Amino acid sequence: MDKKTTFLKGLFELAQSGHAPDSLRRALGSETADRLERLVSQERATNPPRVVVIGKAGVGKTTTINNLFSAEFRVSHALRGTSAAQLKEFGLRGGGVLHIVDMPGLGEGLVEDKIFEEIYREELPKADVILYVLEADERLLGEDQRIFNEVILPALADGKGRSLVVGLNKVDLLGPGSWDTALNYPDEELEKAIHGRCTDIARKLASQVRGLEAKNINYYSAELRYRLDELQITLIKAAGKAAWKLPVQTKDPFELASPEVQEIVREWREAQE
Amino acid sequence: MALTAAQKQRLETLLSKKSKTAVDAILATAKAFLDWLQGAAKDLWSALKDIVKDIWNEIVSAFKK
Repeated sequence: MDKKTTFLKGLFELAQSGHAPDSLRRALGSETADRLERLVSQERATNPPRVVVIGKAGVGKTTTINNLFSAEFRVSHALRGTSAAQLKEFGLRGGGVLHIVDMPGLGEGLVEDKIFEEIYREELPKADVILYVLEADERLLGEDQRIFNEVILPALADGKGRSLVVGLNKVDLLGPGSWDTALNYPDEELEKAIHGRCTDIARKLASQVRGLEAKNINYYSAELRYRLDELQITLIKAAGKAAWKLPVQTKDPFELASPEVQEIVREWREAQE
Repeated sequence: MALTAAQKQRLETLLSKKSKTAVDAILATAKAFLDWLQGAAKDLWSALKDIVKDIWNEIVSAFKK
């Protein structure tokens, strides 16, 4: 591994675990490495990463959170007395916590929508990154558009460099084509269909919602762990300066593949190390 | 059922894609960390930049890719 890669990998490990690996410690010297470790722990303890996930019931928010971050759920608190909106605390590998604000989409009823909108206005400015989850074949309603344009995007326009990420979930249910269960991956026909369909949706969404960039619209399947890595990178890039605190630990899609595939992947990983 | 040659070929492509996304995640996180450090502890950021000054330009170009 060249010096640049070793250094960047060392910074990555420090950001993720709070500990400077030996390679980084050797490059920087103990004093600088110790100072960095203290700074990282202090920042993580004072300002835990905070991700807001918004979406209607049934779109797969919980599966997305669980498989995207692989963090250990600890406790949750209802926000403003409604169990539909919750602040969930997760434990992270190497210590520290991740806060997930799990919020419902609108369209549940006038009274509920008013309460949820108040929660949006309170919670969104505090978020490091906002992920809005839609089902890939779901149509964007007028109410969703309004909430994007009038509540979410203005909350992000505060100079902190954050942007909104939209996740199109459940793409495995699109067609034509089928899911290759041995590889746990769409076959070529389905992959082409998913890509074509989601590119169209992304283009349409980006034209309906001012300030939403097509590159921040990602398609995936949380349940089958398809393209979670891509979604994660989009979240990191959208989170601005707090991005380094986000856990990079998506659940492995090959765990759901056939034993033969798992064996090949295991050998491949060993060869990479 | 054993994998077909086409599935094996596909798996190879998937694994190489996975390696690339892993590198992208490292780069994006390291970049965010350095950006944050520059605002949070400028002296430490400068010390760090100075220590790796021989590869600093390469690091900056890697972030731009």
